[in-house]
Amino acid sequence: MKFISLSYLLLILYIFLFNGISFGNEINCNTLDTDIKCNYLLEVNSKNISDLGTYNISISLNKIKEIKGVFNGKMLINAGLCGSNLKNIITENVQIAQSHNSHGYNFPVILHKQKIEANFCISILMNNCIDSCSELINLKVNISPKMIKKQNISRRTLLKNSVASVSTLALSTGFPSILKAEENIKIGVPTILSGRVAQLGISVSNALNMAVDNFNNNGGLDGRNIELIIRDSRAKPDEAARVCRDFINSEKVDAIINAEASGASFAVQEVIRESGTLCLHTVSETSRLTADPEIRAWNAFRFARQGIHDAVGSARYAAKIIKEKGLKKWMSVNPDYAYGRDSDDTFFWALEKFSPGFEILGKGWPKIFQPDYTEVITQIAREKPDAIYSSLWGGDLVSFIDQASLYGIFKNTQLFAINLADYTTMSAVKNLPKGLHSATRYVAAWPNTQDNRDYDKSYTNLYGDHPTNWSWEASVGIDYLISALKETNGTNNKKLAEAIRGKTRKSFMGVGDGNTVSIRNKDQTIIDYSIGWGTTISDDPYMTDIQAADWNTIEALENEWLADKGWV
Amino acid sequence: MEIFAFLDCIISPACLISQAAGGLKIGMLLFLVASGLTLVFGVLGVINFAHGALYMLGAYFSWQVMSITGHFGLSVILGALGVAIFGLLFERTLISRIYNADLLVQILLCYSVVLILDDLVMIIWGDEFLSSLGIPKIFQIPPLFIFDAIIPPFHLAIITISFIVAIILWFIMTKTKFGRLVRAAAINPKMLEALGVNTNIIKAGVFMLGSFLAGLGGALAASLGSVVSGMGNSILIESFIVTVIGGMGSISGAFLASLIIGMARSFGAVAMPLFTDGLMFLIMVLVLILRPQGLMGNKK
Repeated sequence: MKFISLSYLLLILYIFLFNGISFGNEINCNTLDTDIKCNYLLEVNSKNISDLGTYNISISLNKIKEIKGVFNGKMLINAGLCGSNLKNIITENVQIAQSHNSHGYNFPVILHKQKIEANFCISILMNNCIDSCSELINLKVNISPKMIKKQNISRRTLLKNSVASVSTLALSTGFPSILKAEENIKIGVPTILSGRVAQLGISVSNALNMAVDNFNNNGGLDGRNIELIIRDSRAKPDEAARVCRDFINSEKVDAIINAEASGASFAVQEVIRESGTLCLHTVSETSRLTADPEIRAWNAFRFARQGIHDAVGSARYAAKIIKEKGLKKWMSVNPDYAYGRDSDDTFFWALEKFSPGFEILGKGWPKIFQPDYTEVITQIAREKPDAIYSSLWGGDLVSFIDQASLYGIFKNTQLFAINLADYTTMSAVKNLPKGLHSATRYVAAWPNTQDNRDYDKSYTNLYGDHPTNWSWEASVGIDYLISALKETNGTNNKKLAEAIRGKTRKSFMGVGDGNTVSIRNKDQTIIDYSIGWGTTISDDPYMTDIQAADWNTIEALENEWLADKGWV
Repeated sequence: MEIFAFLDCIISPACLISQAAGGLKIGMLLFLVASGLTLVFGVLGVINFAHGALYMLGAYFSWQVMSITGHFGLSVILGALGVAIFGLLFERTLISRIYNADLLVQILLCYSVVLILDDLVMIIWGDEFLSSLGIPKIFQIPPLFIFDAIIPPFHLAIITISFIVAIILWFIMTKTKFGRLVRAAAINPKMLEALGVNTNIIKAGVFMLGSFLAGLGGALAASLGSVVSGMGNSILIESFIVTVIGGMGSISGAFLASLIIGMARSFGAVAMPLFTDGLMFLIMVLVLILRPQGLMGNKK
């Protein structure tokens, strides 16, 4: 008993110290035949806007009659605007052990409303007891006024408050706590935050946080905030799979936004296939992830570019330059892993369709993060191709261009570098040669719309840097997820998947009718996103003569490619 | 395997010179880093897994000096010296405590330092890769054409610098008192101590020299490629291959092995473009089977 008292004392002390409020507002609960019901009304008026925020509902179940075995019952907490149908926010099976006389629970409830004058109703119903709830227990409920003011809510503070309260109660009873931060919609994000590709995870995190903060600040999903849990996989597939399993098993996430490179994305795909967790791939461009029916999963969606789409767009543009400049002899330099091989295969496959008759003189396969490209560059210098295709990216592409420039490679050879036109890459190249060809990964200049420029501006104002290709992919992904959450008004994975599949949405990267992108029904992958190719210039905006890819052509050739692969 | 392409290359002066010059540049740059690693192992008996991180620090330090002064030579020298000073502190505070420790402890300590430094450079210089130092203006000229083979003048400069460093290293190790003491310390440090020589100074000096070489390699590499956290990992693996092929602790062995690896990568790209990495390991495996002590190593 001393231990229980001490724990409650700690709880009270904690709330008092960390939330700066007094504990009060005890609610009277009524007996309804066999059930127990408690009602609470909260009036918010314009003079007291700070009443909106997180409230702590502290419930104590006390046995009033000895029973054999464990006491079991069900507790439902409903909340919402008075007069409207209250929404169920918590349903929990509760217990009191035979050796205990009472058991305590703690729930945070967040109240949000755009219109600041409103009456909120909270009701707590205790039913489904072994016999009659009202004969076995009584319910004591405290609702603490504003634990945290709305304007002060941060995810960390909220989590800290929740966890601390839960811990205290769990200690008091010895039961596992039932508080699972149910007010939050948890999204796990496995990504790369360390090492050479840390920029990937950081730009994805920035994009997600920008969207989530906006969503939460606008009231969330009837007060339920999105909580992002972002973890580093260090670019290792096994670690990405482990992080993912931890998200599903320990964190009980509602969805996963997978921001891993290709190798790790395949590992994540297998984990989510098993668990059925909704998964949005926002980085991997390897076509096979969603194109191969054996790898595809009903609960996985791709919001990243797809290799075959880029390849067709690239090949069509290259075919035009071939016609203009008579480029016949080709070489390629691609990173020696799944993405690089996929990119090389699909580009030359598509180029054969648009401009047959070219000759491939050789292919270089530097390993990823290779610091020295001399052996590949000497091969290019020796073969003297008319054009080079490359899917190198980031620092590797920068090093390749810098080193190849020493050999004067780009004076007589056209470089088609699909991943060059990202701000971080272009600005890092020493004396960016004029006239290199690149796809527009992400530049504010393309698509040439106000929405895109606004996106770039919002991101840049927040983070002091331009978005990357990974940023826009994450932004579009989270936009779809938020829209699905609103549409289904919950986190049911099947309903969410249904709400995403086949949907068309307006987007700053959209080039479909009315600037839209779509998630295609058949393979759950994004289409109608902006693919442009142009040539480099040495200063901002770094790209000129940008030409848009045609999605009808892309999809037509994609179908042919799928048939070739046997994936139709 | 592109055997005909390889044969064509061998009989074509342009290809032969081009690939050989490329291989020489790769090998000499690798020698700078690997010689430091093998020196530290030979004298101190420590397998310095943090050597790649020191190479990375060299790149970052020189990038910093370059961004302040804009002087290429100064940035390379100060970058390497900065790493030498860091190496001295590293040796005195951490490495000196594990000279007689188990191999696993040495690896764990060095690996911890690698992780710390990888994160530290991201905190200080940001998470994005940094652009290269660029090459000095004097070398910003069209490449040389020798029998139709293209050779960038800056590559010749790197090869020359590395050769000079190799000669200075050879001179220090064989012709100076410090070199004799270092070699003596590698063979019998107890006897050296009994003769009144402070071996701690020798050990610190050797580690400093090893760090300087790693830093110099990093600084020169930064002139040709992007600077990024974790950039030392791949060079560390290649340096270990060089150390094993050349013989653990043998600087002349490291020189020979670096050239072999450089040529293997350069000509391997023609003959076996999909197996250039595998080729390095294959050579290492062959050496381990046929001459386990390495090409220039001594049997113990």
